[in-house]
Amino acid sequence: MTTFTMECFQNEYLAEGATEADAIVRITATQAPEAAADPAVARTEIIMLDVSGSMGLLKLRKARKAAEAAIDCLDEGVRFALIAGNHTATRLYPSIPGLALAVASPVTRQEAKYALARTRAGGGTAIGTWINLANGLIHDQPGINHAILLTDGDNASEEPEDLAAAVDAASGVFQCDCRGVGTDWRVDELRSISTALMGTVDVVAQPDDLAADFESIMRHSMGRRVASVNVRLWTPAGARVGFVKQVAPDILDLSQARIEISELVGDYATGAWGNESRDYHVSIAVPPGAVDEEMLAGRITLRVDDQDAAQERIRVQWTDDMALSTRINRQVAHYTGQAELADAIQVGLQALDAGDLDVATDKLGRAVRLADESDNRETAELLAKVVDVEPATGKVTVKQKVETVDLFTLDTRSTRTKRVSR
Amino acid sequence: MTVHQCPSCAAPVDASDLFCESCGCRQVEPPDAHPAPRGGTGHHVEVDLATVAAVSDRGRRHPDNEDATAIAARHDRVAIVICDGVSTTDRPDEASAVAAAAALAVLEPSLDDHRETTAGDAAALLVEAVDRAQAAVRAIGGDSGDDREPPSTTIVAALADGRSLTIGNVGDSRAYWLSNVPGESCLLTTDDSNAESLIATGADPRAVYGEPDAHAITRWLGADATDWRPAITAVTIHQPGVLLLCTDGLWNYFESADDLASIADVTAIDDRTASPIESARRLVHAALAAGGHDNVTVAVAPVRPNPHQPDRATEADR
Repeated sequence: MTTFTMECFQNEYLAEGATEADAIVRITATQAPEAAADPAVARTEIIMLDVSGSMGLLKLRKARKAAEAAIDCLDEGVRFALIAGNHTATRLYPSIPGLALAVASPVTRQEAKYALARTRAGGGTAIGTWINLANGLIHDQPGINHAILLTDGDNASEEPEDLAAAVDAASGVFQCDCRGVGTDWRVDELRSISTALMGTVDVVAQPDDLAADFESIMRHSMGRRVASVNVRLWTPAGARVGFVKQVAPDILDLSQARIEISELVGDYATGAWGNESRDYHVSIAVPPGAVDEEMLAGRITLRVDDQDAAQERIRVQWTDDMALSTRINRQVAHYTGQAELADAIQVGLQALDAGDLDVATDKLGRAVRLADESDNRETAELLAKVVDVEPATGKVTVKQKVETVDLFTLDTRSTRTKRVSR
Repeated sequence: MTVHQCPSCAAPVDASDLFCESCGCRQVEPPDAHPAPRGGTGHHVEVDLATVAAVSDRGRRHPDNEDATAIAARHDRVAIVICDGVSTTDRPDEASAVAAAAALAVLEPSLDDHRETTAGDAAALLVEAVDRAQAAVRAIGGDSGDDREPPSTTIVAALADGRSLTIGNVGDSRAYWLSNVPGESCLLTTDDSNAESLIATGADPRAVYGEPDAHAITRWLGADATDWRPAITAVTIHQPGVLLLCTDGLWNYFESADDLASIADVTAIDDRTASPIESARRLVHAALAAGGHDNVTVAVAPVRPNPHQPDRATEADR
């Protein structure tokens, strides 16, 4: 049994003429201890492994080991399949066409490992075909559907539109954690997949580290016990939803994935939940009100398995008391800063890649200050591998020699946020 | 006057012609003139153990049968070994024969074991069986002294235990799962061949198999072999069907597993209106009728998952 709680942080006072209502909503799922023994969660796991020519025997061996580690983490009874991907997708296991998915048991885990051992590296990369195959296997499965995708190269064997269409079709069907091994793949490409499929993206620079990473992804996935949690947002007539973003533990913009329930109500799917807490930033544009006027700018209902689980209101009140209206809520300010930090890093790295050193220095310099101000040490450390900061003046310069892996790590982890206590 | 097809170029040939008028290829007996089973010579061998049956034929173009097969059965447990001696090497017929016998000698005693064997146990047995087969082939000849390479053979071996199938292979002899449901038959093994390596890189299979060295194998058993650990395939079967093992003398002619399933008449096997030996003969005859360029060997074992054994997949689907 998992219980959900919701808290709302905001400064309800708006200055005269102001039209932006911002709130941070913290959702916390708590599993009763006996939940671990509860076998009732239906779930399906798909592992997509790149077997393109560039993987070569050495990387492929590590990828097999990683997949084996993930298979060992599958709980008994979990449905699963392995996909070998290159310019086309092949279902590696289960291999008999009549059966789409295997059911995890000592026998099927062993069978799957033998199938992994028979993989060979060859061909190109068309990730859209892998996602389409996974989608076909998983789309009618109830419960929690999740996939791991591993690649080592860019998506050269198909058009970007093919990948986009595949990702679009899979959106809402399964969540997908994406990993790039080495540094010959494109962060923006994998991030577009992981964002749309509500997963994480990360670089695994050393093939040796893949197994530990896959194990951790799969353990985390097995820990999720609630399949469907939606944030339902009501806004009054005349108001407009600016955005709905997950802002912790990492930034994930949900705005585009709104499901219209009615003219005033929309649902935002948040994926499957384990024992965890996440923060969401909701921004609503309201029509300007007169001083002392009060308004309900939004109502947030947490929908767990299509039932109302909790509710919070976003209230606004216009005031001419500057002391009230300029008191920015700490949470809202913090996450606004974290979003800007992620954006500064991504734009800065793109500029660096394009050879625009001025913009790169400016954006990465801004990122250094934002990371410092928000005490986001993890990001600050990653930035320190790419830029130098002169201690006396705070002047930021891009390092003469930057390891590609450090650029990839900074880029993929730019969306990880630091949380502040209340 | 009877008209036949040239097995090489498919041009019509007069039955009395010794050579094709079109491509000049030597003609052998037409299908209807093909002799009935000739025991003992190795030209045509049949073994029928009721729950598994094997047929091996030298084909229509090769003077000798360099394939070998060995099968064993106890209740619903079956062991199958098929080997294809590599024609360009010294004494390929001996190589395949000793390999098949040595492998079966490892697998057969396990059929009497009443313990539930796991996929891991079966795989370990297959690895050992292929290891013994390799030792046996190595023992019959290292350096032959002339230009020929030492005796060499492929091997595909399977253990079927109820609904668990485990297969090991080195070279291009194959295992198929054949189902009476269209689209549900499939190749189980991966060949160790140039063609397979090319297909893995994205080449069109049809184009690849037109290349002259497509059939060159990349792994084999023999004194000069460096890697003979079998690739293992293990599957759990949920529907009735047929496990087919065969040499390239069969699969060269039939691209799709569905075609093989219809030739084998899996429906009749499932219904028990046809026996495995009949099915095996149908497959061999089809290969001969299609040209019979190579030795052809097949083994057929019906698989009937016990309906009383709980099927975990369907349980989970409920």
